Amino acid sequence: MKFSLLILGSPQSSPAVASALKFAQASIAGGHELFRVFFFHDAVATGNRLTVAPQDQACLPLEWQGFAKQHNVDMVLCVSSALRRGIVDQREAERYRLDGSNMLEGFELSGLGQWVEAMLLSDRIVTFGG
Amino acid sequence: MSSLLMICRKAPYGTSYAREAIDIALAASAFDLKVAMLFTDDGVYQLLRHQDTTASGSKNVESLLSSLPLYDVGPLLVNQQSLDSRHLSQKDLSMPVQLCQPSEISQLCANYDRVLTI
Repeated sequence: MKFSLLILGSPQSSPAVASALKFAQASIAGGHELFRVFFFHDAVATGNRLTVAPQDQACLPLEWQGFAKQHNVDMVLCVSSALRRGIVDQREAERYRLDGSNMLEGFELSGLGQWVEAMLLSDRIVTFGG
Repeated sequence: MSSLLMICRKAPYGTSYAREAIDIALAASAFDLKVAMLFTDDGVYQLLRHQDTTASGSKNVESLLSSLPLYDVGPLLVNQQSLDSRHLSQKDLSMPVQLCQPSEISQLCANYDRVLTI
């Protein structure tokens, strides 16, 4: 089955991002396909490469990055959610004349159309957080 | 044409979930999905009339919702029980809605290709 995930909760203050990763790992292990993971609302902080996790805790951005690279999963940060929260790639940083970019490699900034497309092309959509 | 039912459960202010759900509804409609919205639990507060956000500076959810029919989003459905338990009725709402009973919601979900709850 082809899944797409919508994640809303913050990686720091909600279990949504961690639960979604477990779900994503289990679905790949179960032979399913992940079409797209769309980070919306507070979940966009998962794409912040400047996140520093406490030493005894997993760093969710790096875990997602590693998972997506290994399984070739498309990860999209909602661009309007991300801009509001100060998460930008090089292109947006230049467009808004910011003094730096902080998006983690492996993520992509794009619009809600990417989520609508994922809803249309997946067999099941699953929401985490909210 | 694919169809989407958005289930809106969040109060209009305090978090930006209500606003973001409206954004998804509008984006989906722009991609030619047939979009309906069901307001339930605290989500019914989004539909209250005379919302005034001048003092708080938040974006007014009532005016965002009022634009939905212009983008062909509808019907707007409301869980009657959520209204009742908050001592609200249809006359407290800012726009025309269809009332539904909790027992009808599972059938309603089955009528749409996709269901998204925020």
